[in-house]
Amino acid sequence: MATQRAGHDRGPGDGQHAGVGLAAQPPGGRVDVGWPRGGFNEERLARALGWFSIGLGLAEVAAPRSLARLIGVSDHRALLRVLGLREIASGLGILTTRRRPAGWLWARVGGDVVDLALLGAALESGNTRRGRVTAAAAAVAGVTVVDLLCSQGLSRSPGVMRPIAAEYATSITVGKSADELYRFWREPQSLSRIMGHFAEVTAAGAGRTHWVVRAPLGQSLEWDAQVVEDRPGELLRWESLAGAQLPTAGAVHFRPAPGDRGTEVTLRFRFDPPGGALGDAAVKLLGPAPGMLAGRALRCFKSLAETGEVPTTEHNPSARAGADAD
Amino acid sequence: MRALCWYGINDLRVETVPDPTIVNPHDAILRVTMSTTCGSDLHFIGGYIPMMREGDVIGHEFMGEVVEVGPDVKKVKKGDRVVVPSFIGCGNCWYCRHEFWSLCDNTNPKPELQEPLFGYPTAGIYGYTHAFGGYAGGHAQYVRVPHADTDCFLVPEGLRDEQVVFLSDAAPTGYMGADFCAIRPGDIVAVCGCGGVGLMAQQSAHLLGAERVIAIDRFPERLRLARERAGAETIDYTAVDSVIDALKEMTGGRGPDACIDAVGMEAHGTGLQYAYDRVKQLLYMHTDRGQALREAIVACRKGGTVSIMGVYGLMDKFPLGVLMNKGLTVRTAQQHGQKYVPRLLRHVERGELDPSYLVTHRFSLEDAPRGYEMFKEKEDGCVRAVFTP
Repeated sequence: MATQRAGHDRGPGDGQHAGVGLAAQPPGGRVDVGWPRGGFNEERLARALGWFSIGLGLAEVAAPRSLARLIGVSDHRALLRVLGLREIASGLGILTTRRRPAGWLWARVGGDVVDLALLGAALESGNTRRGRVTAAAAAVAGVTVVDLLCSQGLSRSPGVMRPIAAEYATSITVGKSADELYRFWREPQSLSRIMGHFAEVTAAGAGRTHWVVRAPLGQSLEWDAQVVEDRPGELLRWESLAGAQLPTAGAVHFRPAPGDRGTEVTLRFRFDPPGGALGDAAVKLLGPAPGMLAGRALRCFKSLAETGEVPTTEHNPSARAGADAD
Repeated sequence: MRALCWYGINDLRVETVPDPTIVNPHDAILRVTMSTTCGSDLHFIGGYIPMMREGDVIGHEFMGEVVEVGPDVKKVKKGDRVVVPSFIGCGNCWYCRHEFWSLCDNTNPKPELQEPLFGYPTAGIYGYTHAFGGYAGGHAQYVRVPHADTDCFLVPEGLRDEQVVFLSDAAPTGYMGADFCAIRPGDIVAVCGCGGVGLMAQQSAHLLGAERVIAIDRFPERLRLARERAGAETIDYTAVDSVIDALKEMTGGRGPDACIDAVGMEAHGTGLQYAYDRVKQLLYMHTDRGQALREAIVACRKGGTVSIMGVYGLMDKFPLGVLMNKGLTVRTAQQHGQKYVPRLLRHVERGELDPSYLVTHRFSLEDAPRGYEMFKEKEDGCVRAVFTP
């Protein structure tokens, strides 16, 4: 399964889209999956912290004795080298990850806590220059605050920070013919089972469907969608109708896979939340990872088509309170 | 029902939990008649692999009697006595149809936990970590078995539970390990590890036509089983300076044609390399102590096969250059049990394989935590402990 986030802001060059439609062709060619250049401040800050990690790490590995003198602790060369390797690892992690490097930033926070603990221990032991150790601890504490703020910023869903139109494409290969899969997708019960983990979908006839996304506290998002292109055994494309709380468009493509592998199924969809508080609420309701929702939907579709059921650990016995819901 | 639950590192308890129910149309419910410990459980019991949750019912090697079936189950019937492979296969996806059962596309309910690390999710397994699905396991009075028609294998009459329970995991894993070696007449197969899987691999290598089998371990009672039950020659690695030299010596300077690793990430060894691995693992700086596997790669003859059955994490210092320059073939997988159970049942029926000698200790399910303790510490010569609910 491949999930790619295939678009970012609606830029001025995107003006030909009157609504939120998708092109009929499956996404070909290059899809930008990196983090946007010059995006959020947190991301620029993360890069700076990444380079800082590598610099500090190299110093710890290459010149542990001088560094120990500088921060006023006794000569713990091996320990400093280990800490240095950790710094380099988190630095490389931050700089090379193609997503927002929240995990690596949290790793830095963890590392800071370890460093503070070690400096604390050094203060307790007599064999140190207290002034220098205190200064080093203050410096680390400062960096910890920066790391913490940056981690928190990166961990927040990008959508919540800034509602953007986003297009997602996810593919899976299913061991059935394109015709069978197309028919199965169109069965009235199918959509509600496939999308059941995030939306209730009811068929209203004539290619029209009604979508309801429910959230805690009785909130919900509803829209009607209409099939706008229908090529049996090949493609189905739909768009929300005017007045939708969350304008959306989607398409499912069926292409024969090589050999005995069945059919490659690609699900694409686009959300176009309106600006302001309503848009924020809409994106919050969708949750942090719409790409993952599409992935789940396709897995569900594949398992239903191939086996007639969806794997689950619902009602799974365990010694936790109540049975497992997930 | 009563079930053995994981509560944290080295903390197993028998608790009362809800009974399993039919959830999907191809499910069956088994009344478990026997289950057994497996070395791969020790990895999460000891905290070396993540994604367990407090209260999980563990155990992936079990057998029992069918007490209930879902509406779409056609072959399996109430009252059937069956053995179930640890990995769950749907029987319909491309992987199952090509007999790569542990790679099934349709049985892991939590693929998003595995995809970031593996790229693609594997099949689900009973009683293991949530990355592998988090299905409730078989150390319990009852267990839910999805895809029952595909995954339940009828036990022929006249066979005892102790002869059959290991066909759930140890026997097919060991057999697959030997099968991966593509054994030809004259081949010598070395097997690192003389636990349940290792002993089964040794016997399987003989069944598949190996000329000689050499077993490596450090426990005298396990080495004795290898000699007496599996017909292997043995090396006690604590009694030789170098396992690699010993293997070379025993194979006329050629090296074994194939080496099977039946050890995994918590390998024991000797000397500096072992100390280094142990310290790094304790600091969570790497997941594996890999001495046994590294030695197998060096010891194997040029152009030979290294078959890895031990469970590993993300090993560092993997000697890829040795592998490449020696032209070795690596074969590895979690067990494709459904492929091997029918032929293993025939071997057991014909008396060619009797895994029941692996049972060294018997406990009621209520005493299972004690059973795992003995198994982990290999107290009193424990090879496998079995539990009866």
